[in-house]
Amino acid sequence: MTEDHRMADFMTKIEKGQKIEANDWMPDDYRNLLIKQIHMHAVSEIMGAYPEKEWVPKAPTIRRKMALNAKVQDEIGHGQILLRLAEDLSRPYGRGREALMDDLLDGHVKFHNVFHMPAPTWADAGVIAFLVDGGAIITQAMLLDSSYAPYARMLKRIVAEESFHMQYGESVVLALAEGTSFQRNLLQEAINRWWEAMMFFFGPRQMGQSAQKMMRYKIRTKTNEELRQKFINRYAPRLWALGMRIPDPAVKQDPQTGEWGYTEPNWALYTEMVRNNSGPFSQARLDLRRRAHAGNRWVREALNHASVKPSAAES
Amino acid sequence: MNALPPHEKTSWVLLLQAMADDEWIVAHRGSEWLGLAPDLEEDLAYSSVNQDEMGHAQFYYALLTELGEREPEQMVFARTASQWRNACILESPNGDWARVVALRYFYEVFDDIRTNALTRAPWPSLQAGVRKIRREEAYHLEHFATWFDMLANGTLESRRRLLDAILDMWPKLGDIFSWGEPDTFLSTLDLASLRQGEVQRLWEERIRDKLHRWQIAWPGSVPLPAANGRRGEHSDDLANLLGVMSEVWRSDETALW
Repeated sequence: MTEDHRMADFMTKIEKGQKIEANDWMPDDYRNLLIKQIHMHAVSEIMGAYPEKEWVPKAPTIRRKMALNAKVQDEIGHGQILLRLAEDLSRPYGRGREALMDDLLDGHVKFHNVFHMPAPTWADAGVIAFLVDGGAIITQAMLLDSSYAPYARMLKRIVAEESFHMQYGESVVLALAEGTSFQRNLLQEAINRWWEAMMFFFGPRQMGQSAQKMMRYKIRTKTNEELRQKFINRYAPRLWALGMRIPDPAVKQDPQTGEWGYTEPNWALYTEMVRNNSGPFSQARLDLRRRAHAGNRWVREALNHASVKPSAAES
Repeated sequence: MNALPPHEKTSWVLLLQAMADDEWIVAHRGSEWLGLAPDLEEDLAYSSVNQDEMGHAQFYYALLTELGEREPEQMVFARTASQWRNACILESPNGDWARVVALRYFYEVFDDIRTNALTRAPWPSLQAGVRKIRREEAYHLEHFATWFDMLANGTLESRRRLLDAILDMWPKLGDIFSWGEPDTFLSTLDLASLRQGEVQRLWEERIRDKLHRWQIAWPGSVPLPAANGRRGEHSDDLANLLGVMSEVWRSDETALW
């Protein structure tokens, strides 16, 4: 079969809504878009663990500490299963886990803007779980129908866990909203810090070339603006119901169209931050990952080297 | 447990507080490794281990409440350093992965000996809980025994780091075996097998075998420590840890979080 025929067959499959498996033929373009998307998704899950990890030692009740511990573990777990997908896809390029992780430290793969930001109070940890995980559920839900079947399957599990996270976040946020005035202030300040970053989170109204191609290949199925509208529609009323303010007077629903208004986030600022890892906490968080990955390379070398089978269970 | 004679109550408190505090502090330090483990797979495994330990601490704290001690939340967040009974080595900062492996292996062997004795404790709810806990602890022990073997038998660097960690912590391990009181209180509980000398003997036997297997020289019997955590004697490391741990809780003590 010629390359053109293969491509035509492939596109017919995609258009019919059929799914692609890891060992099926796929055009390089499709493979590269998937690697880019899944690699970024994986490292965002891992980098997303850090702002909350900082709050595990400080969690103010036994239950919160255990729950947050488990949540951070889930995020690392998402990173792990997604990296395995990216590793499979990268096999023709001879690139494995070490290389994909090095890419993050070398600045060759980006992670979500929200994880470049500081999380200075306990309320930030709650708002991250509530709003960021809530936003992630919305973007990931559209990927559940992704044309790449292994990604769609992994996302099923991930989305199920994220909805627990969101409920955890909601519970933390609710405790603060119903708490003392000190706690309500903490919460309001955290919402003020995170709202604009969440508007950026879904990407520009006019989508870039890769995002458009991903729509064509049905890797993703909704536009950035559709996702952002869904987010505002879900969270603005919830925040108001808690008696909190949204730090953007333009957030209003048009009664005719149902469309939500909002002030454009500072696109240049956040784009620059993500591109150059120049956000207020980009380098501090990358340093943590560097400590884990590069700082422990000697451990992984020892594992590869150990020549005997580990001893059986001791008792 | 209100029907217990007072001296027996005091004895149970002594025993359980050491166990609860050990498990809580070891888990707290362990949770500081989140996102920092040598690979993602270990991050997941180690996190599960530490969540288990927090659960065990919670179980022991709940029993302490039954004995008339403060509520678990108060025990964790409201006590000052001198009120904690954990062994000192567990409160010290984490160090490198070799130190984690050596310390957790040593600790898990010790905890195995301690919980094994409690499977015959004359207190049914403690006995039942400990039996359940031991099903999880078996995996923790296996996990760190495996890591110990891998580092001992990995590269020159991993072996050197492991030996350094062992030699560095060895003189600081002694209060693990202590109860902070003369052992006689154990006979009121019918738990003579938990006598300091007896636990230490069993522990040294097992550790000696392990070191021997990897041709690591026996550093000698573990000496008595300078400070005894079981008597509330702690380093500044614990005060610092508690400062971090209770920072949010203290920011508004009237609040529900």
